[in-house]
Amino acid sequence: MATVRGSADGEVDPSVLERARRGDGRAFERLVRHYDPRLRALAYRLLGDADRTDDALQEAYVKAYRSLAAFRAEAPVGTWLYRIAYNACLDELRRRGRAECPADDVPEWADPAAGAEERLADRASLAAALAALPPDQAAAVVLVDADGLGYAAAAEVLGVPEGTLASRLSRARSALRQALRGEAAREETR
Amino acid sequence: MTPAPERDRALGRALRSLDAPPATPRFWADLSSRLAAERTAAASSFPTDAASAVGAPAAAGAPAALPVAEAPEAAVHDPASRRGRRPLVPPWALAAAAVAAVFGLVTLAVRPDGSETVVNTPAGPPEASVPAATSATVGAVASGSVPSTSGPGQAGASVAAPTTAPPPTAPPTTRPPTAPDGDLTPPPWSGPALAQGAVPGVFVEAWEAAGSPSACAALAFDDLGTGAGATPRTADFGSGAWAVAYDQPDAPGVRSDGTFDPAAGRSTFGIAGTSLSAGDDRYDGFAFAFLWSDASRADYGPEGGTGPKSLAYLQVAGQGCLYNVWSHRGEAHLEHLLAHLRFVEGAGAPDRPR
Repeated sequence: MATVRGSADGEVDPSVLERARRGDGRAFERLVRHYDPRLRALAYRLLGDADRTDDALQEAYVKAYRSLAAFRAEAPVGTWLYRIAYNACLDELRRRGRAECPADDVPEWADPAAGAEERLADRASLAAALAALPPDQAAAVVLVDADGLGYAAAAEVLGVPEGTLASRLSRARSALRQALRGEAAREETR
Repeated sequence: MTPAPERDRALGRALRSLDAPPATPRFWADLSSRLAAERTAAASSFPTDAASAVGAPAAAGAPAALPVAEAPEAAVHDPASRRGRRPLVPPWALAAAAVAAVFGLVTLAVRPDGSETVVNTPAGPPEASVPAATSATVGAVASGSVPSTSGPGQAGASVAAPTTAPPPTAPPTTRPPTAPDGDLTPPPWSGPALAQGAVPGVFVEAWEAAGSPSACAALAFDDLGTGAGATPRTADFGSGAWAVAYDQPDAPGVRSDGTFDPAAGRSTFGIAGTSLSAGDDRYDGFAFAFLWSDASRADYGPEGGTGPKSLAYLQVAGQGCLYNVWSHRGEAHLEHLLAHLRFVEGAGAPDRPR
């Protein structure tokens, strides 16, 4: 596959965006390939299934393609794509509900020096805890804590005020920790 | 107690470990098809929702490797296994796309590398109704991105540099470097066959050594693009197959053991008429495809999804075998080669080129 080059701040080369906005299909594909790993991570964590992730992202990219000409660049294009992908995931959830994330599909811990929080969880229980969250909370914690978006950008993606984002984030973090602590306690008593 | 910021960071690290599997070549091929359908829909005034998808690449299934792995230059790739999954393209959209194809509608498809390549799409019947080898997807690519520097003078002795050959008796393919939206281009081999004196003798030698297969006519390049000056030789693709590999000193290629070397200069590019039938099941994960007006098609991309070799599986209308075309010089060069293929007189060329 061709390498997609982006600028240092993680946004795609502006010339690629501009060509895509003018209808250059190749540039559009470069654009979505640039952002796909991040969007895919969000979708997968929300949907818990690789095939459904593909389906949602296909829908998202086609929608983006249709509306890119109207994109006003009032927000970074990455944020705009995040929002489209998030909405596509919500549509997918409305259609078919949440999938349990099979433990076999979840990678092993990547960080061998994991800290206390990581030791509390195994990957399956984390996936399950994330799947148990309402989608808006799951998206908040994924966008901010996993993907590193700022509050403003995450709020933009979710279409809510920053205060609402902060509230959802707090509830999501709390619920995840509680679920993981409970899982760890159950493991210890077995 | 762990401070909140550190707990949040730890939670983030944990969440990041739930990485999604990367997008597959099939995903991008499906997306390309759907975007192509978007353009088709716009061009045909179809309701957008009814034409939002077009036949995906050949039906998914267990990919079959070509049985020619013993040949170092053999364009056998490492087919990535794929789980069975439902098609991304719904049947109603396939039907709509088929209708659009009937009206000859084409559109610009996408490529990730920004090269100046026009892709005609879609045409042909929907995926579900035809064998994998002939199912429709994506269209014809022309070769405007590589300057033509060699001209047709690649003929000569089997191992000689192509410098002294007479010009071909047939005019070279003059298909424009890019195809306009609106119609599929005819294949380059639809023009008159090249005279034997206009192509390296190894093409006819290889074809005859394979038993002069009438259903697998020799195809030769009438222009080598950035491969100009390379030396052709016969290559081993196993029983019943013919192959010509080009060696180009210091260019990317393979060592004698078949491993890639950026300066091996061996088997830098080439073509084979394999012993496989064009309709056999095989790897279907290529990201791109050509489709020509005669229903010939080439599916191509990085070998095994990652390269470094660029590989095409070529089905030529009227020919029963599966052709392989490959290049270590990159995808643009492969596209150039695909756009410069011609039959050779006396080597299985049909009486009336399709």
